[in-house]
Amino acid sequence: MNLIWLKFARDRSALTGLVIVALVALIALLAYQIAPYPEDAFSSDPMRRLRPPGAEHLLGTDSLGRDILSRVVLGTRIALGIALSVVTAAMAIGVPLGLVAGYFGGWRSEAVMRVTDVFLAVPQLILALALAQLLRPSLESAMAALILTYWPFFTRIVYAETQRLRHAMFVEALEGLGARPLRIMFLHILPNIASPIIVRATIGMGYAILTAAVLGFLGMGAPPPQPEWGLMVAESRDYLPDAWWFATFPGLAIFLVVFAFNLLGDGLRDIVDPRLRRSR
Amino acid sequence: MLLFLLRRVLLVVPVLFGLLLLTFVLTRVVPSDPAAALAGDQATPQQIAELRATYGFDRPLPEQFLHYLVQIAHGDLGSSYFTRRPVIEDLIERLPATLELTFFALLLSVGLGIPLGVVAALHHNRWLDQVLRVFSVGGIAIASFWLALMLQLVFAMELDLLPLRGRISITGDAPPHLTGSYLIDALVFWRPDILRDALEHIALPAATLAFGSLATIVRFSRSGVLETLQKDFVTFETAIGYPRRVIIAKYVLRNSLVSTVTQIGLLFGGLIAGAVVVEAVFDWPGIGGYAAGAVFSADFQPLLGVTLLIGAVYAGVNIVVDLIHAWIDPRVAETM
Amino acid sequence: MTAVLAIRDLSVAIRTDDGLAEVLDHATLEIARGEIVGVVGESGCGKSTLVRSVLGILPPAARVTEGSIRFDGVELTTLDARAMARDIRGRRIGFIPQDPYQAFNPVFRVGTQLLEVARWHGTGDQAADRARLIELLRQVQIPDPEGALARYPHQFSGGQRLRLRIAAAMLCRPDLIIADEPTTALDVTTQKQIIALLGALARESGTAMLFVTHDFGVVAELCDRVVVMYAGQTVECGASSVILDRPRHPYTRLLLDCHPDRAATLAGIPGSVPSVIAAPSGCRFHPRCPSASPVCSTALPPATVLGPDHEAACVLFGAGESHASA
Repeated sequence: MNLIWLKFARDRSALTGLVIVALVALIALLAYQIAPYPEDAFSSDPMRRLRPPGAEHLLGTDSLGRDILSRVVLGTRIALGIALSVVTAAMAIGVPLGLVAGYFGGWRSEAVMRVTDVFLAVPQLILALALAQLLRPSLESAMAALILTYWPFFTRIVYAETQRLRHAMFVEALEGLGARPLRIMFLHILPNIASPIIVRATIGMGYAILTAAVLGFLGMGAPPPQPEWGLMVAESRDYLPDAWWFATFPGLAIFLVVFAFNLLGDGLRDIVDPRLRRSR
Repeated sequence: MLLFLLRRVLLVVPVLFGLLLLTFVLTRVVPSDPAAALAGDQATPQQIAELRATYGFDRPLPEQFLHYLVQIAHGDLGSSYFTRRPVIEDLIERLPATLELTFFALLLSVGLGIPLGVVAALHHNRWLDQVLRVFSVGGIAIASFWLALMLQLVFAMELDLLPLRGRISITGDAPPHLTGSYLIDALVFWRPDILRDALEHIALPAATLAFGSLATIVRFSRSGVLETLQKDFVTFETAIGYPRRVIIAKYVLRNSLVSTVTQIGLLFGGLIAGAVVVEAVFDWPGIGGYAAGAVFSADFQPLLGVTLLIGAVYAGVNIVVDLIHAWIDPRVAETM
Repeated sequence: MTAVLAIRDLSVAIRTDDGLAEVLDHATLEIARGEIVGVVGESGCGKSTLVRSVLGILPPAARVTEGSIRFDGVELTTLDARAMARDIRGRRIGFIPQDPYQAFNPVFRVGTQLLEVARWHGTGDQAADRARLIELLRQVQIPDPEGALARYPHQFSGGQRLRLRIAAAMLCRPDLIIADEPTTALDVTTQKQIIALLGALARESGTAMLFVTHDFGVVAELCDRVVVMYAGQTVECGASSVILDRPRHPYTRLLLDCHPDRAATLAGIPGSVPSVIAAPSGCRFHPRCPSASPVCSTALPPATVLGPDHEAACVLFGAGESHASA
């Protein structure tokens, strides 16, 4: 454990990622305390619309006179909220399926993996769009769509890892002792393959935030007046190029958070699997 | 090689069948009233009833699925409520624009990404490598719609260097139709004015679209080169006296392309998905913009058609990628 | 006879996380024109480092700290990398690798790879080089040499890959061929055939050869002379027949006793080759040596001449005087 921390501390970019992620999480928790105008999540003030960045409004105001800094800060709650629920739910679906497919093999693995193939046969965003549309556009449908498109990634990795461990000495020993398959899968195999799952989940956080923002931008995510980053950028389009700050800062927020999760995921992957050196 | 191709094509069949089944389940089984879901919010009860009758939603499910397959085999993807035309016609009209955009973006990212990745690997752990590394992690973290707006803001609005939107100037003509790609058609019929105009129009959307995949290609070609450099045969090639530049430019490059090429298949999926957003922002008249429009107007049939078409195109591209892979690395064709 | 290769007191050190490792410690050997010399020792005794030093392909962390390598009168330790690549490697020194499969680039045709050497170091006449390669392939008994050039490495068996490599090493008529345990991965029958083939080819063309192995059986069949190495030091050298019949150095004797063909009982040598990071002082074999005395740990004894073409470095052979004189 100490060794892992040491390796991690040496990796400057992964550490940067961790620090930003921690900061963002803190901002999300304390959003209403940090935001200078927390009420601007929903209320508007036409008197101060489209003000450029200045002392009163550090990042300016939007077309309805709402403080952009406050809305970006409040938006972290939405972004992290979506990402956490999407990744958790996708894991809850994908991991057990992967375990079952990898452990039992045979028709069960065929069935699970063919379904996985189908979900991976269409680019994720397209599938998410079709799903979100079908479920009637709302924040919940967007999340459901993201979950339905991301679980196969967990299934694939868990499947591969479980297959690798299927005939490991300790698994066969447990079988010899008469342990039930469910017990072996969840109590013995799962802890052994936790690392790749954590790496995948970290990268999944970035994916979920980015894709949720795209859905928001296309009007399939959070409805106005929610301070959702993608939606904010979409609302800013009519005010370019004059109100450049309106479009710029929410986009920067997306970039920064996704970048941090990717750096962290990359660093974790290096530590977990030294064979796949950086940037694989 | 022919056998390999055949096997590779056969592998796609169950996936495409599964995709049809999936879309069928999504549209007919999941919604409580599929006719109402298909018709959209603005439909009158009468329209819904009509739909129910034409699609046979009252029939048993297996029969419906068979009917659905027959329909799709005949190229019937339903009609759009927005354009009031069969979806298939809309798609055929718009596909060339999307293919032009995505392939141009792919060309950009491969043409720039591989050399940059090789350079990064050869400068392993020096400042150039570090810069490219930050770029390659950062590149995939940028939201394409935001990048599109920023590029529009700087290059079209502030500097006024490039057009803001569209595929060709409103005042200009399209080239004579041959392939449907303005760039290729303008080249073939040698219309330099149109070529220039089309290039100016494609520059920003292609750059936006290429950005993320460029980052990925830099990543993969960099690690591919680094990995190959550690192989025994590289040491051996040095030991028996190949010049270093020949080892890098010929023997290392080809090996490291293997992982990059397999990645291109996946990247193409990302490009075509990214096209939805990019085409919407730049008013590019392709199927991506069509899908985005369908999203805005709650028009489900076009979206379904786009999903199926992209699934098919994606499968086709991946077959081509596998063939290239087998051509680069002859062992692949024999293990499959 | 003039030496085509003369290595004197060569010391090579590698920087590692745990300190400096002296992988070669005053290694010395000489090869005359047309002579086949075997270098024998257990794994990890510095044979590969010796080969890499001569070829100038030491890993970046390794450095020659002392001694000289003279190839046909040219000092290689100070020769610049360009000249080494342009004039020596491939052109005047051919190389046959330890693992002929790993040494082939999997994605290029065999012909492309074998002819690449000739493109940079050959006669300049590509058709002539190609014809010579095909003739050599015939000599190393590759069936259908023309067709073989169009195939890929994985389509050949291990023995055939080695034959291909032998032909390629011969292609530019080098003065010296270095073979680094090439037959290790092969079965015994194939090994015997290839050793015979290699010997015949070298003698016919008058090429000198440095043959690294851990097998005295191969030495007996192939080599004129043999050098025995232990932990980076050369402990004994001489004509193969002499060493095989009357080994003098305790390490050589023990090593020969391990050979299944001649040992009455398979003895083995107690202990293992020491780590070169904290190598024993003096003679590095003394911790395992049955005849060790306290003197052995103080200094490395110089080689003592024991007969015509037979030297060994051990205090057993009149250590006193030579010690003082060194």
